[in-house]
Amino acid sequence: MAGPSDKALNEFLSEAQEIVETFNRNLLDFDNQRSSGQAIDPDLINESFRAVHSLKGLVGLFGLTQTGEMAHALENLLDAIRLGKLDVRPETMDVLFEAVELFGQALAAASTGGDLEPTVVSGYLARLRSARDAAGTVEESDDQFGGYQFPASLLSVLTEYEEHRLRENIKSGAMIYRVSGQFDLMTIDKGIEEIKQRSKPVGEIVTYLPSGDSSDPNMLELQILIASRSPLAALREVLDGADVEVEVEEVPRTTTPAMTAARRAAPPPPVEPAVVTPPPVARDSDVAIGTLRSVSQSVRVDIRKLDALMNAVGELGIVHAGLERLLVELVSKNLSDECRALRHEVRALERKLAELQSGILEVRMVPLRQVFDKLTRVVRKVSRSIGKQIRLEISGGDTELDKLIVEELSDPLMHIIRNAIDHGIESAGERVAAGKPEIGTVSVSALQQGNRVMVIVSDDGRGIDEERIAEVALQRGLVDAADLREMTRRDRLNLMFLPGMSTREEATALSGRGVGLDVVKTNIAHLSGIIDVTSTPGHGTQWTITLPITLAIIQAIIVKVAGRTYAVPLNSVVESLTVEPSEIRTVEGREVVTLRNHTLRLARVADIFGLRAPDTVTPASPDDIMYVIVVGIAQHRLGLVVDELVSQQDIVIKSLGRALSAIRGIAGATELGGQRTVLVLDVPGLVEELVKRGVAKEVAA
Amino acid sequence: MAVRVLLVDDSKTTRAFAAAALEAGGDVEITEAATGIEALKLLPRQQFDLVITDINMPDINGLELIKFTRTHEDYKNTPVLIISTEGRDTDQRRALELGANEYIIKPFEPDQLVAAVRRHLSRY
Repeated sequence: MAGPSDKALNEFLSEAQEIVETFNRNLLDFDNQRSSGQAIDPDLINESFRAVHSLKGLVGLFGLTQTGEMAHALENLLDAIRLGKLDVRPETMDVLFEAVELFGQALAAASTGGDLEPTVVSGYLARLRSARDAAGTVEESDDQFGGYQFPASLLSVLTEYEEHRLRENIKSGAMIYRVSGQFDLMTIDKGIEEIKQRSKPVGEIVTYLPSGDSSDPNMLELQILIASRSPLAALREVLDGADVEVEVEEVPRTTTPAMTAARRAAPPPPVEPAVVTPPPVARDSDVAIGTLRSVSQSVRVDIRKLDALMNAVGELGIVHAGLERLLVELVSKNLSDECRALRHEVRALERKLAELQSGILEVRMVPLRQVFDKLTRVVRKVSRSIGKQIRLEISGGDTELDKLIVEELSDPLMHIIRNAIDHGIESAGERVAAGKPEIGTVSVSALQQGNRVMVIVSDDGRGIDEERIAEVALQRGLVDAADLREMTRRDRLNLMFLPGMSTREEATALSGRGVGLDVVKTNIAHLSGIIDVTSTPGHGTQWTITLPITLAIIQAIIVKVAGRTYAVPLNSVVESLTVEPSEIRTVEGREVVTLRNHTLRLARVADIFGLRAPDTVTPASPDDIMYVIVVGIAQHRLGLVVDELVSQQDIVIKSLGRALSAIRGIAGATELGGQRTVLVLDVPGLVEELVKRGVAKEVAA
Repeated sequence: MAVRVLLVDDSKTTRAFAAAALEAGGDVEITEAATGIEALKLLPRQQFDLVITDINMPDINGLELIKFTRTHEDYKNTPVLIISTEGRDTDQRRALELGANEYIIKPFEPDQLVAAVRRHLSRY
């Protein structure tokens, strides 16, 4: 096709990305069930197949022939697996997981108009073939349906897969039931979903058969075939009370071979206990929730639309603040009944606004599991490829963060984990000699603390030698000997984040080439996050990333400097303190204070923005208390000196527009009500700037 | 008068692609459905001149949709085209046996789709 528009390309990429994620999730669950010996949910492999099938169609439309070829081969493999024609071995899982990765690469290439390299695809196809050859093929028995004689008209609407599931179920001793009912077209989705939920604990839905001869155009006669090993009464019981009244009957078997006769004599053999507890989800309200949830999964919204919505809520907040002010004035003059009523209404508006705001924030939230799933794959691959056995422990995948942050987190996190596997975890021999378990453990956990989320990566490897780090930093002139002497162990470890640091001369394939921890730090700083590292030689290393849960609406401290008002985003604020002028020392021309045995560099906001002409400076009298806001970006700390702390409130940051975007130290503007527009300080930018000028180096805390 | 097409596919991108191709090819009014169930709900709401559907969809699949239209008094003469990926011989055969008018293999060129629709709807 001719070059797709940007919009079409974006839609393609987002849909494809979602499909790849679904594919990955299903594979992980499948692998899990396989390796733990649980009963395998056939849906998982069918959903994987469907994902690859859809993806193949999509990439074909966008002219990605290489990716299409790969998807095609993969589709065939998955098809054989779901139809029970192929055994699944560890090698099979390897090629399946590799595909997830290649699809990721393909989409990255597609975003700039490219495709996978033919050599990459041909290499992959060769591995896929050998995995397929290694796996045993399973002879599909061609027995007729164990005594069932389905009419040709029924068999003709089954897809090959549905027919296979029908056979498999019958083979494993299930009976086939026909559930039929009249569904109102307006509510058919809900009706079908309810039947699904209710029947799930006792059986598997094989197919839905809509009938074309309904007399009422608003109703649809639907037959559902359910395979189950439970008796008819059990199925009737779970379906009883569903919104749509259904009839349940067993599909009769014909009396043909002896086997069927035997079945008749001794009623259905491998039947589960006669009483089946109704599914716990069978209450009407629960079912409704299930339906809602499945609908919301299919809603995809451009995050920019949510930004616009958020802005509108921000403006509504300003209108509210205006109303509030008028109300106060009014109340001070007279307190009539109308005033009381108005106050009541304004309060109600305030509550609803807060609800609206948290509602929108919630929509932006996605579970960290989206990133964690990818990590599992990388760890699996890396540990296999370098022959180190690694156990990955993941917890807190349900912790939610703003979509934008989750997206941006994946690269830095991946880097840290590769680093841990590559440099942190010792070889098996080394570990045994040190008295550690042979298998190394890397754990990733996430937890929410107020408005922040902490993601902690730790390993039980050899730990990091901070002396070696200090040595390299010194050699490369990144610090001087005097600096080093003042540094604590932790400070020295944090030198790792300086640009130009890499204690290994040659980057290995694992940790990537040319991307150092300084980039990790910068990426996290862009998310207003902080990264910190601690390590115990011989026992392991722990990386802690602290992130705000959203960037869309933030809490800020409102401050005054030289009569002007500024907002400082709270997510970069570590603490605020008062300092007496006498506590301030001057070291090499820079103002510093000592805070809990650390030297904290100060920066006067008034000086940064040139707000006070020298002749207007009032020399600080000894009892003038100064306010210092300690901000932290990555491992840097800086004390911003302001005149007054005004309040703390939620703000929506708005961009200043292109013309003003280059202004140093300002992230945007926000409105505080009463048409007051104030500037929001760009803390990461300010710290960065001061670091470049070399003034924040010694404040590493 | 524009020809009215019901386009059923669970991929939004595929629908957008097919819709763009059809709109460029002639006077057409397209209604999209993302699932077989949605298609069943839309069918009685307005008169469609032609249905285009994918096969692999959750719950109500494309084959069931074809069977439904072929046995329904109101839709049994409405042409149904299948768009699906190749390699599913059995499904392709079944679709045609059930009465689908044509099977178009994904990926397809815009012209192919337009030509197929013209074969079954002379006024498009």
